[in-house]
Amino acid sequence: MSAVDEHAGRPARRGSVQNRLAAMLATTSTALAAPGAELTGAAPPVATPPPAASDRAQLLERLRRLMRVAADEAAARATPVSPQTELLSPETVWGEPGLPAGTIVENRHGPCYAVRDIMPLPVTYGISELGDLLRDVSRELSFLLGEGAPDEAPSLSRAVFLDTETTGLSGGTGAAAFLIGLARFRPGGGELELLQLVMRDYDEEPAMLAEFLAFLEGADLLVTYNGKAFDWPLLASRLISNRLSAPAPALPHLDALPVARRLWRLRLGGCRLVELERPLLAVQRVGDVPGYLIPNIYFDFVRGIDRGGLRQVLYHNRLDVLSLMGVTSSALSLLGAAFSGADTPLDGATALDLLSVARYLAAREEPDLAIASYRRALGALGQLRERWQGEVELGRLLLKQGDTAGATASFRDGVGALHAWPDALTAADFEVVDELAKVLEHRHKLVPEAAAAVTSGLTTLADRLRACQIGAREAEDLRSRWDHRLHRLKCKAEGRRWY
Amino acid sequence: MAGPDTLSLMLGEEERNRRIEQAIAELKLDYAERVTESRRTPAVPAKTAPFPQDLRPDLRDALRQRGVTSLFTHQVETYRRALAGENVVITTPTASGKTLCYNLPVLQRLLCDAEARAIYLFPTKALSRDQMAELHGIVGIQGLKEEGETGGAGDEEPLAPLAALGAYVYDGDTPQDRRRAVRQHARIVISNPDMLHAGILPHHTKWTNLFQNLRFVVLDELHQYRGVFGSHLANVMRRLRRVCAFYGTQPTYIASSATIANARELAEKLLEAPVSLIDESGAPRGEKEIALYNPPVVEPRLGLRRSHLAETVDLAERFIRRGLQTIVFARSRLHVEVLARELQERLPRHPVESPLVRPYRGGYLPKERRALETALKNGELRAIVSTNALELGIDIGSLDVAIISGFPGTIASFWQQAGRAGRRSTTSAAILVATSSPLDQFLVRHPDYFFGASPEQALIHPDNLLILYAHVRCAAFELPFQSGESFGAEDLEGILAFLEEQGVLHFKNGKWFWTEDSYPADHVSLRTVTSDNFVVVDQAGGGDGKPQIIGEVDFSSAPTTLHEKAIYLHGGVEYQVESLDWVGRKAYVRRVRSDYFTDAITYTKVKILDVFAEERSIRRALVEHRGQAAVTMAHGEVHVVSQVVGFKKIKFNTMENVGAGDVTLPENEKHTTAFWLTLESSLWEDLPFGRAELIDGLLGMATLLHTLAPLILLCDALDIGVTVGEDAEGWCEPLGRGLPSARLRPVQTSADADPAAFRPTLFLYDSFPGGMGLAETLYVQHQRLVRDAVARLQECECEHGCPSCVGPINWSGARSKAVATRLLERLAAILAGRHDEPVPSSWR
Repeated sequence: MSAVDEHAGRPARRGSVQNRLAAMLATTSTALAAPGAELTGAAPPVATPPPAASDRAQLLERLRRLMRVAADEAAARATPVSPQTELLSPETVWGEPGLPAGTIVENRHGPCYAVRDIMPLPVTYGISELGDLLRDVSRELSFLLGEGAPDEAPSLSRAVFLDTETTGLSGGTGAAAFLIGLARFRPGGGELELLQLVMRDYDEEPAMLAEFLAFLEGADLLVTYNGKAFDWPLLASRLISNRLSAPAPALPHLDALPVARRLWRLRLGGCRLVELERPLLAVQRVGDVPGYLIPNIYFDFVRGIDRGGLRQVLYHNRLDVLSLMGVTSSALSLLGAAFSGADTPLDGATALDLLSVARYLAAREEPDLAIASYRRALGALGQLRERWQGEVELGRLLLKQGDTAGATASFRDGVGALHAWPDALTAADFEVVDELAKVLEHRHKLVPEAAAAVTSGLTTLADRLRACQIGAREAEDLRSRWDHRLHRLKCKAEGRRWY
Repeated sequence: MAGPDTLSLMLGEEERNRRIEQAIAELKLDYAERVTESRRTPAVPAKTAPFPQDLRPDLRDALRQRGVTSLFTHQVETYRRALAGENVVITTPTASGKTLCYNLPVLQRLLCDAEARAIYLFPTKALSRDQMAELHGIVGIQGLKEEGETGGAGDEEPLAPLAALGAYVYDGDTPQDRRRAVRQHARIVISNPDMLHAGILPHHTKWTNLFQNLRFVVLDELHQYRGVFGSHLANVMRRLRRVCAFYGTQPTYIASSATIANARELAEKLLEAPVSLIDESGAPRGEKEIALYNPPVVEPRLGLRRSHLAETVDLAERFIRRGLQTIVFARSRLHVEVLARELQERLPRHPVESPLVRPYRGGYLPKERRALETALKNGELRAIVSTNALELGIDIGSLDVAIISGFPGTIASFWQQAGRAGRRSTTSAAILVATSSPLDQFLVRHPDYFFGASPEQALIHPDNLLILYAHVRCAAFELPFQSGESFGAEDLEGILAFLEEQGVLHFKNGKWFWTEDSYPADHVSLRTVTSDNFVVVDQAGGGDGKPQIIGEVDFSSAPTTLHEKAIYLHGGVEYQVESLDWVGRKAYVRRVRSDYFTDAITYTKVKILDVFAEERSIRRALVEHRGQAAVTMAHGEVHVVSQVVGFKKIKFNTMENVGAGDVTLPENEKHTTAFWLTLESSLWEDLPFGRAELIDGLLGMATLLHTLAPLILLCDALDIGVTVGEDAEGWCEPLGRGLPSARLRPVQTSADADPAAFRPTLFLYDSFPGGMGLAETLYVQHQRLVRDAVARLQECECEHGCPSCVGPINWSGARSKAVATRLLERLAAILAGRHDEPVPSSWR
């Protein structure tokens, strides 16, 4: 830099961080000012360099000051500041009540903590019998796995159920899984093994991950709840960060969350694991810890601030793994019932679930199974709104399969139900009228009947408009659509051009 | 003057040359007094070299298909050095084929090594899109198909086919469903520093393919990475190197930059590695006339000149009417609109009724730009009026004349804008039309600043504690720090200990682990301009009477422009601020008719915390003062507190002060670095000025030095704060818009009794907390700064001050100019050692 040359030989007195900080303190606090340290530029205030420890302290002080100014600005912007956690002694003495009884396992990466439970079957969880997962569910599993299914008949005898607890965030390299909850059936099938791997501190992560990989050896299926979006990518990221390799080729992965949404959203609404436990498994958690608290519980544990809270997290994770197994079992049962076609009487709830199954099957191109499930479900739905929504869907599916008569019957049932329907109707509910008219006109060539169907729709609309959840505008659209259809049908019946 | 019929013609080369020479000659003849300088840069023939021997045949063919049969020497040099693993920075002029400089070695390497990958970083998204189109053009590679499975072909063939090279943009606009495919298949990832910082590095485990095989990192428009942005980028590069080291790679860096004084130094500071400079262009250039044009003085006493906008229109019309294609650069969007409208009115329309002149605004899509380019090529369009949006490497083809309306702020920008005119074989012209700002007025009289070596230094300060701290957090999130690791020049373990104390990190077994449930990068913006803006809400709103947002003001300007009762000017309309919601970041305004505007009065107190270096000079002439300094120059760390305390009402046109008001706003404080200049009594006590006049003079000096400083610092005037006062408990002078007559009360200082104790000091400080190195450079360069300021004062024609020197006469006090001139002359003499000499600071 030529500018420097101009001033060559003139010593710049730019000091070290420590000196800068010292001067900063000297001008702000007289107590700390060394005599003669005024801005005379004479001798530096301290003859010998200060010891490293005080350098550090000074840098810390400077950072605190800078941050305070920055924080003041931030406070003016009303950004909430995360609460400052007081740091206690980081001394970690294992053996204090913090975790349930377990063992320290060691591998070539070092130690980590493992809580292992081996339970002889049967194991009852709520109303669910977890051992039932070992029955032949190859058909159901093949269906659920779709293209990811292995060639030979899959089973759950060598599946690993997985759920992790993490330090928060939904991704990014700064998030870690500190607890890996695992379950599998022991070879021979007589026992259920639960294993919770815990890193008691961050340096145990590689060992914990290595144990996890060892547990996966011999497994042929991974079952998780939201694991495709969350647990597995996070673990894959942690493996890379710790220079460990994920199993190759990748294990087939059954994520039960999207399955649960298909099967139970209609009936239950929310499909978080805890929301399914009570209705499906009759399990009620007591004293469970809310998920959002878990990262801080772990941080407190690691820092030695509070080592007691982690026990609850292990409990929470254990319930998550068991519920995952229970919900998986429920899903397989529900599908199994549809596949077997067993004609057992259905209550309203089961009928709704079966309707969901029917829709799932239809979406996955299993029309025969879907039609059978629709029929059974609709038969038991009675006067539920889903009834003729299902009829319309079934009718459309039947049409696609070439069963015109069946479709017509479905649509007729639907239109019939419209008249008798006690509750408010929506515009979508009336689509069944159009479907019936179309099938009568085009497939059966019964133009007058088609016109009659439309007329009945108009009548129902007029009768029920007051009770309908239909806006004036929507009703007008509906009416003009039908008027137009009616006009066209009349023209057609009279053999003249309608246009 | 050529008739309008010529407007629709496209000119042949010879004819164009004839016309431009004629236009230049006429300009010099007609306005001999206004053209302060006109120089011609000679034509330079091309220096070419054959394709390198090892250049792959498919790449050769691709180049030949585009009409490239040989390369320029600098392209070959970059190719050789980059492939040999040398980091390079290229500073050849605009339109010298810089893009090919980096594309060539990157493509060669990627074709020879089927796994190799590269990252291209551009400062703007528009540039990214442009360069992707350019790359796809060279190699005929296609954009990512929805199925996007082309990448797999590399497995069977040892050499990847050219068409299989995926070059994709990955930035905030990339749809979520495409990102995964880009991560998997892109061989060249085109992005920006912000995305690398917040979208790629924190998720590096999803990018293993990229980082394990990263061979090249390309940084275009390197000179943009200066100040706060550059200091952030240097830290992002530290993080990138850390992540690459984790995956075992060490990429080569290829950078390109506009011509600045310290391109290589900047690159080495940004990359913290040796970098070779390639600055000898092999590209041909036609002759170019560079003219500096100063609008005529219309009111000599007040130093008022004719508006540079009006002059720009006149000049542009001259050239456009001759059928010469012209680009006009204006300094703001508003000016672009005004100039374009005026030119459209003056010029006839094209036979097909499309205007001959069109404004260009930022944010045009490549397709729209192509349309403009085509219109330029076929003669439908004669001129473009643009902001600096077209200054960056976005290609719109070459034109005959560039008219730069107002100095664009940096000499590097000036040359980039001037480079938009210039064809390889014919003459072109670039004309700077000066505004009345001191900087413009200085430059039109000192052309050597343009033609000599660039004085501008891009400064960065990657170890600014606040910035470093932010990136240590980000880096700790990406990979745990280990004992003994280094990151920046400060004590890393000290910062880590601080983060541990804050509960952000946890130390265990030699490593610091991230223990916070948040993404640190999300809270760090690399750009100075934060998203933390104030919105301006018009209460009455549009036609429907609903409140309507009419503008945005950045955080630092809000106190001075949006305080209650302020007149806020927007689109030429006056609004009055009715209330300011400081916490909610909203200002509620209502339209008013007002014959005045408001000027906020700010108190800025500076307290010196530490002196990094200082220099005391004495006046040799004063024997009785031997040993006593006359002036002290220094730089160091300071504490700055500023507060808007009131405002003045200034009448439009007459600039009369017609009233005042109080304002209560929170104080704004920061630690930063400053350069200062203290006038000791021995400098001024024998001058025939009173105390108040001395301060007027000092304020005038402050105005002048503040506007001239960016010439050395390659920064915006807003990056530097200025104030006049005494250190610590002493008085400080209220400033309105950097101008003084805001004085609310008579000057009272701690030293009314003892003149020797009165030590007025002029501070120029870094606006960004912690400083960007601006203060230190000003300290090192203070002789130049003072010398330039003296020259400006001596040559300014006004009598008692004007906007082009110490500020308009009404604002700076009657004798401001006279006092400032005497003080600065004396200062310059002392510093130059003519009849006074500086002495080392230790001798006192």
